Amino acid sequence: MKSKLLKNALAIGLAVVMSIGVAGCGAGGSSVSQPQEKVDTIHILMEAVPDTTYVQEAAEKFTEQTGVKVEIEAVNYQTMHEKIVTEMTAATSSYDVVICDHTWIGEFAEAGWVIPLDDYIESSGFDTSVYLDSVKQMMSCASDPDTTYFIPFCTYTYALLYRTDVFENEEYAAAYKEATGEDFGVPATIEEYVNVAKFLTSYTDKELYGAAMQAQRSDPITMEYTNFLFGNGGDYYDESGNIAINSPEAVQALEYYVDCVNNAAPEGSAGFGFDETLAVFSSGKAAMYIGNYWMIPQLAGTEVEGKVYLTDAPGGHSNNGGWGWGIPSNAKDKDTSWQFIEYIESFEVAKERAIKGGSPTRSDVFSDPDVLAAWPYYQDALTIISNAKALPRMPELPQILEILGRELSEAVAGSKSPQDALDTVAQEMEAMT
Amino acid sequence: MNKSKQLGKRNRRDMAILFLPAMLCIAAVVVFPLAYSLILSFTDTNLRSQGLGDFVGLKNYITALTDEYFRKSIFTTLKYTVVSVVFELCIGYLIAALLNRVGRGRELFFSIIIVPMMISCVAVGMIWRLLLHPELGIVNYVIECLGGTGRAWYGDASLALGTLIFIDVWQETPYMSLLILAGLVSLPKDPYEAAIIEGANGVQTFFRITLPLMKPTLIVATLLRAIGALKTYDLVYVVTKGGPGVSTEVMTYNIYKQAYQYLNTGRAAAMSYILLLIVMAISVFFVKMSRRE
Repeated sequence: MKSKLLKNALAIGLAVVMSIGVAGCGAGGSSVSQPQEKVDTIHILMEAVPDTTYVQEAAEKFTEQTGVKVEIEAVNYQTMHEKIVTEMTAATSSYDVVICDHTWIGEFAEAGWVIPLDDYIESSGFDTSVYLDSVKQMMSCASDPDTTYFIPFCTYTYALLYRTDVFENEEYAAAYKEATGEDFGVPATIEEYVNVAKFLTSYTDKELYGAAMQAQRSDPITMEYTNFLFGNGGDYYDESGNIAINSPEAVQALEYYVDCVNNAAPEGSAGFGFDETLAVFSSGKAAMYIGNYWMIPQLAGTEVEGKVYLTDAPGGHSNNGGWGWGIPSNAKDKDTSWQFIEYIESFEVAKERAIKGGSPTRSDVFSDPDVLAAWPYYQDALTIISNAKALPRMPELPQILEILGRELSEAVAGSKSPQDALDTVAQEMEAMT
Repeated sequence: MNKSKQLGKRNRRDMAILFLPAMLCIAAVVVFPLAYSLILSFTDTNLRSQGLGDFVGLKNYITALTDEYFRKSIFTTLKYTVVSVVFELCIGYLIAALLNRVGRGRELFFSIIIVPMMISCVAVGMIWRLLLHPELGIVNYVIECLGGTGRAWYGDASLALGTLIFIDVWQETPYMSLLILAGLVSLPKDPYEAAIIEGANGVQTFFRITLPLMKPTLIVATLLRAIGALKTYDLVYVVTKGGPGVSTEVMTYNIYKQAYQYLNTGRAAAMSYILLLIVMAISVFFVKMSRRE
């Protein structure tokens, strides 16, 4: 009681001092019918990736058509979560549209930071049936799967990117056969991946690394390890919803991962993020890379142009990542925000973006003849995306990934054994959920 | 008598009026955030829910101090601070002493030396990240050309903290030199002339005259750098993200994670107060040292 009184007194005092109205902004349903302040510019925070450049180009046409300017702030992935969270917990947001990583979906939706979009979808006749099944799951959170909070924007599903010239090399094939008794080929399991990667690194005396890896904490290492986890038959939770991150499959996946980082990837990979790893791969110093499937167009003009193809991550289940458009609950003019989302995700605009090299989410764009003519590999990319598994869409996921990243990095650094590291993750997950 | 009393009153009133804007500014930008974060530190406030959380007493402080990783981060921060400041002080002094002897072109040398200080810490981190890239960076290339073996400077848990300290020393030593040079330039000449007459050698002159006279400057310079190093965040964020493992996770980075990744602003506020107490303890120690004869 006393603490409640103190809390109230403090809250009132602070409110008076700062003259800030602490307006609640919980999930109150979409506000199609509510009167809103009209804005002439919409602000969007996006990740600094090629797809954002294509959106920027499409946004100029949106401005021509509607007169509404679009200002896109493109930042590094690492700073996005904190920027968006601080904006969405404020009374009003600087952003009218947010782009949400699939790992934040549960957190944003359950905290009420983004509005349900069902009313807008219904009133505008927006067709969501065109989205691939594997990206549809990114539209809602686990606790409320029937409500749409996000419209899929792009996927960054992981795939095994491999050098075709390396796997056609007869010298490597003969040497591998002699050393292991196995046939040399694109690895289909995690174990094969680690073995082939280690072989290439040692056989070429580090002239060509078997694998380019991104083991920097927290996001790069968690995303990469998740491919090992799914590929080795593990998961974050089992089918009954019990924590499975320290299951034998998960521990074995981490043992493989640590072995691969320390014995097959370039020295220092424990500190590599996305940029450093891509730099190693695109400079021709690595044979394989578990990277995003959309990277192939980005390799044009590098040492490995035309020498890279892709398949499922080893084990057959890639980590399925993606981004979705959402409208913050505290956005000023939600109608205009929706107008933009509807425009940017229309078939024509999505198709134009895909032809430029962007990552589609609509099945009609994936199967469009013009898109396939521009990027024939999309045919196989579609299979990879369909086989991919998604992370659990729970509100605590960003925090779980943070803990996981720290412990995986501890295991790679040799400070903890894989079993100890994953046991710590399981304990902290247990305490959190 | 009456008139002087009235004058005094008016003076006090004028003084109060003149002080008021500054006091209000300080209250708004220093006192209020400090008081607010102190209040936060006793609550379970988090970014998921609006407003202030419930009062939880010392729970946040206890949780923070019993957290193995936070305790490790305190140790890492102290190690980072002590090693980097000692190097900066020694190298900074050496540069300042050399510059003090330069007759012509001192300004030119000085301008070149202070360049690292002018660059933003984030840019410095990114530049060094590229230079120290194990495969594609120029540092390892040069080392290998000279017959050495390149290392994974920020990707090896045993080297990463040392690498951060090296970058910090590279960037912050000019600041130390600047302060020390200002002190050296303003030293009185008489004691040195007396020392020459008395036949003192260079070492005696340094320990008996220069060092005692420079003591206040050195203490202030060390204190300012120590506070800066204790609060280091940007360099860690850009270069290592606290890794590999938790080998470079300093307190500020741990606090940032607690506030913006785990969204526990109450607990992050308590951790910030623990950092503030450490900074204050070090400041008090230095101030006391400067007052000691």
